[in-house]
Amino acid sequence: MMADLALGNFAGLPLAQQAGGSFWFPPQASDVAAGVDFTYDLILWLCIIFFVLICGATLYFMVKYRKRPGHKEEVTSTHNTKLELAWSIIPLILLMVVFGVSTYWYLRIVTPPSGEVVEVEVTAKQWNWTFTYRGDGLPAGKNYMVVGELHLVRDQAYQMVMTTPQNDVIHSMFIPAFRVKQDCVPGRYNKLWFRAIKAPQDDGAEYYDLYCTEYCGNDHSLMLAKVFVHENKAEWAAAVIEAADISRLDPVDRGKSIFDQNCKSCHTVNGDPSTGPSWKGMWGREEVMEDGTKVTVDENYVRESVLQPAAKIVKGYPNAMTPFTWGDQTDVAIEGIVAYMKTLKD
Amino acid sequence: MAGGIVEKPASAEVVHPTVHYLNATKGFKNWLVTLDHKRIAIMYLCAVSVALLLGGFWAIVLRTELLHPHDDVVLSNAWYNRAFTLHGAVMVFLFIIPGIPASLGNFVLPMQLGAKDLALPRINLFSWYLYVMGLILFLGILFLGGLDTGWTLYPPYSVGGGSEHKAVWLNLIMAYTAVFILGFSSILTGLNFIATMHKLRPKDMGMYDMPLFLWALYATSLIQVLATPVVGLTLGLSLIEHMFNIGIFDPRYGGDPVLYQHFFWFYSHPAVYIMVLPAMGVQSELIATFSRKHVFGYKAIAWSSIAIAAIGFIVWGHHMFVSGQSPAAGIIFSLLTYFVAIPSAIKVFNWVATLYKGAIDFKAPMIYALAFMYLFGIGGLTGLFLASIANNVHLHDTYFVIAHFHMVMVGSVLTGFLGGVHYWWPKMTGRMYNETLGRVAAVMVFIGFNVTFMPQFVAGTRGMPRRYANYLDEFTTYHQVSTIGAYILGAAVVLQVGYLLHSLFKGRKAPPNPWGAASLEWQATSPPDFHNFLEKPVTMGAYDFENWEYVSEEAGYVLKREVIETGKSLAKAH
Amino acid sequence: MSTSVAEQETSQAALPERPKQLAMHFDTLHQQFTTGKLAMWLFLGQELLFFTGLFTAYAVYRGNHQEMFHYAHYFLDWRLGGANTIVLLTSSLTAAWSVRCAQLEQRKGLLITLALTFLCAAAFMCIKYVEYSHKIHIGAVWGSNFGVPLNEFPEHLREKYPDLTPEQLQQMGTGSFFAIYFCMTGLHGIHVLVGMALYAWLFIRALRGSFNRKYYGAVDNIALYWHIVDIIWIFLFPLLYLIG
Repeated sequence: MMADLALGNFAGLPLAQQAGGSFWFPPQASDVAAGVDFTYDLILWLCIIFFVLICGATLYFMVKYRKRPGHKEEVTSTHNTKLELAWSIIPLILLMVVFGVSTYWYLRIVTPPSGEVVEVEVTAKQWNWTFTYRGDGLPAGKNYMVVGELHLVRDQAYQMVMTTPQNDVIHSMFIPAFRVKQDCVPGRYNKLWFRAIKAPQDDGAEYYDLYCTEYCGNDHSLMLAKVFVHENKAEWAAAVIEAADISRLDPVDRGKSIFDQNCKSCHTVNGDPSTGPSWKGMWGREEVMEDGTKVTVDENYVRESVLQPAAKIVKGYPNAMTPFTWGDQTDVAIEGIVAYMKTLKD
Repeated sequence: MAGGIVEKPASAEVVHPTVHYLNATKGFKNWLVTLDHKRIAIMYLCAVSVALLLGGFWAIVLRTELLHPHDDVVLSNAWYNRAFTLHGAVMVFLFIIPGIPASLGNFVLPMQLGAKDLALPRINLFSWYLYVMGLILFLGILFLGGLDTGWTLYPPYSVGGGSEHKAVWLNLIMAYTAVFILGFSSILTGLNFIATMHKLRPKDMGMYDMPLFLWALYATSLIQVLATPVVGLTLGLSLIEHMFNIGIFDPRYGGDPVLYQHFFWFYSHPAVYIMVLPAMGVQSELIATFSRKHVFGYKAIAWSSIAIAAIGFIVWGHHMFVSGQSPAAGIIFSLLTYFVAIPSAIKVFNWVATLYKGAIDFKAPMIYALAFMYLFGIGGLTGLFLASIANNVHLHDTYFVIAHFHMVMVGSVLTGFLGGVHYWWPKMTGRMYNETLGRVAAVMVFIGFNVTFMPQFVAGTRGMPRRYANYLDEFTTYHQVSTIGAYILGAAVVLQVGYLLHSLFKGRKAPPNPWGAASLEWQATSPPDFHNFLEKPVTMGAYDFENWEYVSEEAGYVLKREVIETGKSLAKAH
Repeated sequence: MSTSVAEQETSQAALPERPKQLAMHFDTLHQQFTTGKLAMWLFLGQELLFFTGLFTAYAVYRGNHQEMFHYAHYFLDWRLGGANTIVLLTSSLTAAWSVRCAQLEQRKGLLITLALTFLCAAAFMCIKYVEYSHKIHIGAVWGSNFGVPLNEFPEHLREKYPDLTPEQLQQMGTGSFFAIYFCMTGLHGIHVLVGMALYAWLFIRALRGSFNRKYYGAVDNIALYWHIVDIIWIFLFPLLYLIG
């Protein structure tokens, strides 16, 4: 493994950059990004000026007044009220300017525009993001749930209505290209709006990154999602419908995705018992039930356990699961779970 | 010192005491029940050094893991999370908060007042025992399989929300208890210091005659006494929440996890100043002593410490700009945060002005002090980006924050601590360390910090979130450079441990005042007598360097004959 | 605690004319006394901040769940709380009196007032025990464990809100009220217990005749501590028992 660390990565100097970004930042893909970066640059230049002054003076004094034969310290005044007031008040004024600029852009970030804003429901849980789309060109009356993919239309304002289940933990949505971030707190709804004015394909990339930035446990660092920006609503709707259609996935991948999204909080695939039994090696095994009967884990048992979990509980585990359905895709989903469980046979 | 007349030294003979506080009584047991502030300080120094090495070990392990974007170099994801939790918790609660006040402050504070001990010696010993209990509990957590909650212990994750770490029930109880106990250790140290400075200060020494290190400790103590109880209560409640599911912080039982964050940061933001103020105090001593100049703007530095402490209490909300608190609250906290910048800047400007027309001696402690100026400059200035609420939304919980607070906490506090340890080492141990190695290590520390944390600023602005065991390929270079920096730092610490321990046995015997410093502790022998001073020290201004003159490397600096005869400082009133 | 121990500090280097209670690092008994007192005031400052956290939690939850707090306060018996207030106020009086007795070297008075303070504290804890055991018995407890059956509802609550069901009360999160109630009164109770231990210790020292008009710092400081415990109760009582 250490061999992989071949310092080849250094060959990439100067530092690798995401397409379209600058030295400091990823691309300015939302309508607040340029303002935020402007504030950053403003502070950066102020800091550089002060830093050069402080360190420059220090270095100069270090050389000029270094201790050496023939050089002696001189007694100088121990304070100078005018000088001290100047270096207190001037920075204060500068900082108040920065505060004003920064607050202006912050208010832009938190205030949704007055025009049409499309809502997307976001559910954050350990360790994935689910985006639920409805209306706005999608077939009426249906919800389209997509895991790990946020689809947007260029120049359209979106409001994320974000929450996390009561028994989950705090997460935080962060899209660097948009310069936005908001925590998702169990049992609360937090909102976040943004408008993409640039698409990743403009810079030759496929998608923007979306991270979880509030530490949420084991796979915190894998709780990522992709942000796609489409040119118009028709393309967007087609992409959402396709992404929400789990039947397009290979059954094993489908099952794994369902597992990650819905089952992982109570089942493992490595053999460790959790709230429920581990799926590893479970397929085809004969399990002893709570009432002492024995049941072989097969298609029928899995289907029953998904739709009516309380019917047969494996001995030693609580009756803690809620039934799962996927609308008109329930059969496809269970097919995926079965296919995935088969791969965990040993 | 007009005219350049060289007077004959009062005494060129060096007095190396044969009986002093280190050997006044012998045996392990005598140390464990000692009420002597100097011995307690040494015991603290040993304990916080253990914590520093432990926390540093985890830092090295973490950085090694981050050499590769997604492979497990040394740690699985689960262990990575435990490693950063232990690194953070050990460093914050066991090293940075008690580090300077409890070890160096404990030793120096009564001596700088010319006193025999702290006001409450038993309380002092008691707080050391509390500290050690906290240390043992953290070691226990380590042996029982660690803890992966992050040092901030945010609920609901910490109290068992979500799907993970059902097995660490006991470890979490130990962690809450440990921090609670350490909090009390900190409170007791703080109130002891305040009482000492008010009541044991000699009558002819006003508050403005105290060394600035003491002003810094005074401000620190105020925060310790007034902020620490809140975190004690918070973690106490968390403990009860964790054991009985009472529903104060846990949303599963109707609690409010954001309330925890308010409580936690109400302490933990002022705690940042508990960490950095003592380091600033050390800094004031070092800069003045090694440039042989009266510190510039004494009152400004003194009161800026108090101002930082006071403003520090009302800025906690800047840790929560994206937690869902109202934008109005966010903007107010942002404004208040800018106000903290001013007293910090005042200090830096005053230190620079102190160097003016001095005679700057690049001894090892001074190299730390100059490194402090640079590192704190970066740490403080990058704080402005984070105080800017528009930028904070983007930078919150990214590596930019990591780099910023490490520049302040490690870059400034650790350099302050190391500078102070080197500065007072001759006084504490009676031995001189190897000056050349001391300088080499100081330069290594400086280079190591920069290599470690500079790339992290850029990784952060580019969006690299903190607490990530895996990261996207585009951040690889930043992480690898950073890891190399951490190794340099690690090597510097190993070197320091080596030559400091070596000096204990083989070091040259230290004169009473090797640096020519003017605060009262340098009038005692090295190491000091059990009762600190053999005779009452001459009270003088902390920066009246003109009272001392250089004799030789063996004898260091001695008080001028005039000063001894008249018992008065030669300095004119400034 | 913080003060009294320092005063016992015996000195290795005490000069013959120094009083035996004077620690080696102090010059006079007066300096030692004022040092202890300052430390105690600082300690009380941190005590205040410690409780402030809980009062803040109370305010936040009360603000968010006004109705639930209103219903929940019927479960607390103001008569028992009132009795405890009187008991505690009496003990504060005797505590203050004990300081005076110590200053005037009235040994008998000192012993009586110390004992009375201790007994009042004990009476407070007995009443607290009655309250706690009743609440735990009917299920008026913290978090999701809360669940009081209809027949255990207090009379006033049933008269005023005949339609209120136990399920409604549970869903409203009444457990949070009791979480705060038990945390606040529990923490206060722990302070009362500590106070009792301190008064027992003072009583023993007074029996041995350790205090005189120049050396009574422990009595004074512990009385200060006792007053703060009392003051906190003065706030707890109306907040929890009286306002609805």
